Amino acid sequence: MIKIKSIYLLLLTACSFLFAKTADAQDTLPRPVTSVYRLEVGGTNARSTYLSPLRYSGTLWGASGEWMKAFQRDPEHIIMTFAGGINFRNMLNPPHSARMIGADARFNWGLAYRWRMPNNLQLALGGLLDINGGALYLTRNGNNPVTVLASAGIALDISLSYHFKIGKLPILISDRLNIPTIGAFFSPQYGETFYEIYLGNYKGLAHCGWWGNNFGVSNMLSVKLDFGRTAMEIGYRYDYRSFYANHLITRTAGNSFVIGVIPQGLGLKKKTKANYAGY
Amino acid sequence: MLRYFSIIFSSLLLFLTACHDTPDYKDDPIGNFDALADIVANRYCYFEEKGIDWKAVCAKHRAKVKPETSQIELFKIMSDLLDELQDGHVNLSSRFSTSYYRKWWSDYPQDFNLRTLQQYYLDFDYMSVSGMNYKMLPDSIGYIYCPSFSNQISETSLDYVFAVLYGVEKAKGMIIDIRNNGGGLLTNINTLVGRFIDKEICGGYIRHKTAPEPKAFSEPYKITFKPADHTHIRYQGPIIVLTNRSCYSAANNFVAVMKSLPNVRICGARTGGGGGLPFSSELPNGWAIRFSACPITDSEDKPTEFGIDPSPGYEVHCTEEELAQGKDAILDFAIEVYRKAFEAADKKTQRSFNIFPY
Repeated sequence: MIKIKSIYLLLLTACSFLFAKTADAQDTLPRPVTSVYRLEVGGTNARSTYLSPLRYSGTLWGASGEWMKAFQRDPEHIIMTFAGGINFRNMLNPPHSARMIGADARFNWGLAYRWRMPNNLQLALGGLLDINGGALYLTRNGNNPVTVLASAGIALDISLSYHFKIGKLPILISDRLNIPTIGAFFSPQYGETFYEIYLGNYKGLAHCGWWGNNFGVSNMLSVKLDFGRTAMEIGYRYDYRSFYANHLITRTAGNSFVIGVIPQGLGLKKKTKANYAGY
Repeated sequence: MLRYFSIIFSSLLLFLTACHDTPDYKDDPIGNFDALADIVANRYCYFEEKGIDWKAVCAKHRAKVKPETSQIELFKIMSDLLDELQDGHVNLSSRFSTSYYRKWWSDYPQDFNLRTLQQYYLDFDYMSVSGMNYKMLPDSIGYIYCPSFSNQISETSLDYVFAVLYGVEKAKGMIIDIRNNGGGLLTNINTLVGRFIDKEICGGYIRHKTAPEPKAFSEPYKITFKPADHTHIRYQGPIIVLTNRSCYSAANNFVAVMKSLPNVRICGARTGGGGGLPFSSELPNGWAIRFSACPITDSEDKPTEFGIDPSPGYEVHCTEEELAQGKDAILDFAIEVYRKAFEAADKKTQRSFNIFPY
């Protein structure tokens, strides 16, 4: 009990220092929300040894949204991000004799610390609460038709961006990398059917995830063109997730072309001191 | 630039996930044969019960596979290999055929003729719902014929069946005929059994493989059956379940559960078995493979893979000659059991008596 109280006091003290330090900045910088709405299309492949030993490949469609804002307590350095997206996969096995359909959704919330560096470079490093849910459905399987893709954890969020102008058009090039670190994910037992889970046997379904059994990368390289009132984004995303538990391997990967719109623009064109939160 | 990034990330992934790689089989006759042999070796659940030396069996059949083996020849070799498992839940499906082990029923008398039943006992006049045919037989015996569990049996349909037989027509006993029922949805068993019990019961156990090793099985998980809630009609009177060798899979499981109930007798022939819940996988050439993966045992944790025997004194068989003449000896036996019991019973308590003494 004394230990808990000590930790609580320590956190309180640390927070009060942070608030004291950032109180001035809070009132001076505007904090517009930078919204990005994206559509994605590309190729994908998936392998789930619970369903089949074969790797399925096909097309991926996705839609996502991302909302970024400078954090109230330290708007100069801390960016808060909320993002959500859905993906749909339509895949065939190599001999094209069976179809696998995948659908998943992801939600991220996180904070990143940014460093404005010389030569218009910006580096940001932070953490994201990373929640994913979805399924791969192999249409011809009977008692093992679905691999559930469900995970929650903390992901590293790293980005490097550079902005410059071509003529009067501000352009922002950025590369953003998300890597899950620790968390939890779902996996049935090696030969367990969903009937047994339906009966109530939930033993061994949840697993702690780390890089040894739950590795993933989501990388997005993008170019944003800031027209002032609005901005446009063109990019390429590479996504990879793998889960290993109970002697079962599940992997999904996707390469997609991304096109997005930023309704309010990035603030790079304005001469005001807008504190854009874009990466 | 895109290529550069792809190469970097792919290399990173290979490095981090190399320890969890799965074997890749070539899509050629030998590669496909090896894939099939390994899938079954890792996941099939009855090697020990059936005394099968899978490695030796595979070696025998693999010798027949050559690089130039045609698809049809390969299918035949693989089908022969799978027949060694003597399991009706094992199928290999290609674009041109599906293999099927038939000896679990083809080597035994059928003990049933649908035409005989419909013509001489139901008079081609019966009601049907949710795949069940039902009728009140003479002597107030409610009769339900359930040829398959492939379609979902709805609670509402069952209410109507029970309401007609026991509410309107006042049946005094029930015959559930599942002869030739090759199985289907296991959830139908829960729906049906829930109507015949008044408290939660253990109907069996299920296990699954926890790893590819041959003896890596989970602890048995109890399969419990709960009574249907009070908004539905339940029946706890005497029941005779009619079976033959073609009762398989979910039907076999239904018999195993019903046999554990005190007011139920199993009448006819030993069922065909099929106690393993099947799992699916596939080969590099796209052929699908299905096999028993999760053994289900009865309420005493005894295997059900080899069939369920009739209750003592209730083993009855039908000859082809009798069936051709319109006589169904199994159904006749069940009707006679009820007739004798009704004659002996006190008329005032006929609806609640127990015809099976314990």
